[in-house]
Amino acid sequence: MEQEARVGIERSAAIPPGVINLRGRRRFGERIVEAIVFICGAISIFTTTAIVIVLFQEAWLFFGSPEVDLTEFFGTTTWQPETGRFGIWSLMTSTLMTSIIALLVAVPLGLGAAIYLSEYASPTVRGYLKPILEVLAGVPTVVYGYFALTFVTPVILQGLLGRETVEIYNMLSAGLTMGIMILPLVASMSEDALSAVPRSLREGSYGLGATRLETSVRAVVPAALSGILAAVIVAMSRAVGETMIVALAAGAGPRFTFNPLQAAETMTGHIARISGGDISYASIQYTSIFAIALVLLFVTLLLNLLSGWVVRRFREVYE
Amino acid sequence: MTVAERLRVNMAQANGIYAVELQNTHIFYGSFHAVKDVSLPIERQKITAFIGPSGCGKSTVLRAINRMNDLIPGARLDGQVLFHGKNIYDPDVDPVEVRRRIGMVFQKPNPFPKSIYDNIMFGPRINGWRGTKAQADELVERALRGAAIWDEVKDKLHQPGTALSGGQQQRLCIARALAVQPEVILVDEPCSALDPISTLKIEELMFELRRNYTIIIVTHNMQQASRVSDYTAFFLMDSDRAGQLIEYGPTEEIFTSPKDKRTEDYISGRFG
Amino acid sequence: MSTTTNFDGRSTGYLPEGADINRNIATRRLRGKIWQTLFFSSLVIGSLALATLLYTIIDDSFGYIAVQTKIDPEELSDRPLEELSKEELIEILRANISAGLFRRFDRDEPFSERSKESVLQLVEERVIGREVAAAFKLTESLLERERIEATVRERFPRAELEFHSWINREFLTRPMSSVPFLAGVGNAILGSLWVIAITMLLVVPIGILGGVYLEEYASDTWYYRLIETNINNLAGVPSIIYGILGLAIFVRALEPITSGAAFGVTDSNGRTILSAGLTMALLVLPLMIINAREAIRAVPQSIRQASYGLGATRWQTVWHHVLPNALPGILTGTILSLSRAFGETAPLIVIGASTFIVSYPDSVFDKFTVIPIQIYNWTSQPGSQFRSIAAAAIIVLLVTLLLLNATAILLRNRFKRRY
Repeated sequence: MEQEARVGIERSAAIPPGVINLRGRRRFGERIVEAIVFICGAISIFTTTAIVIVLFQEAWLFFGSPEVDLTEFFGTTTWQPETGRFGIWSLMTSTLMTSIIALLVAVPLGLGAAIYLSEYASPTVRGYLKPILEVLAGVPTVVYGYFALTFVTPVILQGLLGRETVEIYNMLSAGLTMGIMILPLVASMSEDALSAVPRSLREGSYGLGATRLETSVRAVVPAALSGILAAVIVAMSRAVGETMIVALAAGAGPRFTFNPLQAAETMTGHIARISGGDISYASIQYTSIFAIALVLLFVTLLLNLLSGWVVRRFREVYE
Repeated sequence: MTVAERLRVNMAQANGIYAVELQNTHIFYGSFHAVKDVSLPIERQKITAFIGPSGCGKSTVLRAINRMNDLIPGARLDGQVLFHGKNIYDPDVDPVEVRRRIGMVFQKPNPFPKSIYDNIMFGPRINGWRGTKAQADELVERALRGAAIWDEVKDKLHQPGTALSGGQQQRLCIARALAVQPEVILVDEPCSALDPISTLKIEELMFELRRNYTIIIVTHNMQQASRVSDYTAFFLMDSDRAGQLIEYGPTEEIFTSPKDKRTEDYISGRFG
Repeated sequence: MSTTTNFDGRSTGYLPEGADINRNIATRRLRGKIWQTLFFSSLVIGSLALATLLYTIIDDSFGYIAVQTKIDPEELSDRPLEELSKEELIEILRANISAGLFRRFDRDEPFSERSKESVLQLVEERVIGREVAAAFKLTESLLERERIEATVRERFPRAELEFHSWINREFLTRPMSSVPFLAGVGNAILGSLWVIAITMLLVVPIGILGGVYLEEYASDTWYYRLIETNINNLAGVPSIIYGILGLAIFVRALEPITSGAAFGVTDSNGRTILSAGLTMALLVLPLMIINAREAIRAVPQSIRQASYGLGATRWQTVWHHVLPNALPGILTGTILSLSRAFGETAPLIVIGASTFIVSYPDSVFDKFTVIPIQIYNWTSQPGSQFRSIAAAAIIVLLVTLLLLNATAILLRNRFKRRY
């Protein structure tokens, strides 16, 4: 008792009142820090607002100019700025075709790889195979563009179909190469979805006398479907927004065609080509880029939101 | 077992009285000796209960009977598990066939996130179902009736199985197991995750199913075992943490006049 | 019990029985094996694609070339050209090309400011006229040597055949040139470094602090969720749109600042390193914030609570405890963002990275080029020699990325052991 009292007296005696003013100073510094970190977090809002404002502003100019007509923009299929024809479908079909070709490659291969890694591979094998996928994912897209032009096109040309049927720039090789680029994305997102399926589900299936294939394909994959679907949608979004592969390999002139062996410029390729050249800020070419970019943004944003919605809506509750 | 007992068992086996028999079974997980020397006959169309404190290998032995332990890397079995006189661990036996004939209901209900109808038909479809849609409908109805859940779900066969309550899900899993027409049904602590009313329903169900199936049930709940089963096997963990069969016999005997003191201690609640 | 269980099942016979079961199971097993091979082949195809990619790059980067010259270098000087001083080289140039041409080069970039490599390159290009008459790929060179020798002897009798590695020391130090043989990525490498430096200077602090805000300071309000969704959406926006953003804002609207006019720099426009750095910063920022968040989230709560328990303020806790412990993850995130910024091409094309530029940058208000842009340029030009230097540049890029990622993995493992 006495000791405690002594300690108490000692302590309060050691610190004279008024010397340390903890509250005031710290609070002020903390406030500043709070403001700073908030600004850092909120800069992203600036980015989004800037994107929206910039795109809409210039697109407004574009659509407002006399040569451009909304119905023509969304309704026709020729994009020829020299003659004043601005039909987005020319560029859009090329974008869609290359993206769909890419998906046709990436989804089966990516899903197959994911199923193998998740359901069949032993940990050692996974340790070797997953890094390969990660390396594929890390290669810059311009290198893939190089690959498309220097290998895929000649190989398809000479190997299969001959120089007459396949143009040097064509949508098929761009699409195929994009597929290889997107494959790791589909594989890793699908594998996450498959791994999230609880073990008890697999056991239930085995307990009924199913083989590993039947368990994987008939029980696990359907259970992971929402995640797999989300992966496909995100892959589509990536493919639509991709620039370098199509800029190098798909073609340098807008053309409305459904023949994948022909050259046709995509939306992104067009933007890259036009802005890479000399354009005056007042020209309609300049504002047209923004209109195309606006369409591009809408499409990718829509796809991204869709994938999030799919996951939330269809996520299986296993409990 | 004594010689006399062995003789009795052999004759019973020859008469087809035993559906499954474990002979000198040891189970290993890697180098860990999980279950030591279990020899146990399971009589046809009766309910046999495995009881004992947790961790003493009851579920391990149960899962060995339909080769579910194969799914665990490093799991190994020495000895024999005979089904119709044939050792199911022989290299020429495919576990897929074993599991078709010996079905399983798990501790936590695990219906597939598909419709109730598709849950039931999953087993038949992968096993080579050759019937028409009408026959399938009939099979689904009979399986659901067999699990005493038909009246509750007959109007919502196309709703997902995961939307049912816990007790209903478990009965759905039972119906799912019935649909592949097994001979033996292994039930692993089916009611541990359920409320008392669902538990009662499932116990009644077990009793009924006994007429056509051989049932082996692992349970923590001694009262359940004594209520429901015809035979009881009591397991205990020894000093090396390996499970061992202490005593086996008709349920009445085990519960009223057990031969082993350890059994008696467990029954009377002195431990476990 | 209301229903009876007379489901004895065994007699219904729509499932295989008896011997049928074995056949049925055998079929199913076979099908299983087939599909397993198919699934595995997906991975094989992916690996093959990667291998083919690497093979193509290497194949293009090495091989025989047939070289011929207009003037023998020994006629110009008795010492090897590389040993001459810059002034001596300028003299050789002045003596051997037309005055008009000399003036033009001086106007492009004054000789006094050029590097020695740049002048040397001009001498080789214009005076010696060393040119590659024919180039061959690696596999060709290794396997079909006689045929190549015969072809060269027949078509280019004056030329010498030598084995050439398109990626070599000169390639790394020389600036761009319209002649593939004399071109290098010297100024591209420097340009990349300048741009990345600006990007990371902005992105690292802002990214970390942004992550700190989202994980340590923000409560679950509407604007928090807005910021969070916003960042996740931004991560999915195509990179070319960031380029357009940069074009409109940094290159055009903020031209006085980014061109340096506000700071007294003349004869420049908005297409500068500064604009590029700012644009890439916007591009990479969401990625950095997301990574920083994960790293911060991984720090155990107990550390924070211990700190608060001792009376520390939030910032003190963050600065002294959370951030140091989150460092490995943040480092990894930084390197990932760096890698991304290094390899991006599309936004810089839109911003207006120069397609042909020989000068080396020495301020943020300079024009610039980066390695991916050079790859893009050279790949899109016809001719196998351009292909070769594109491949060489790709090797530079990939090796850089490899080193970066290896460092990231090494650092992560090293720090992990502490826990």
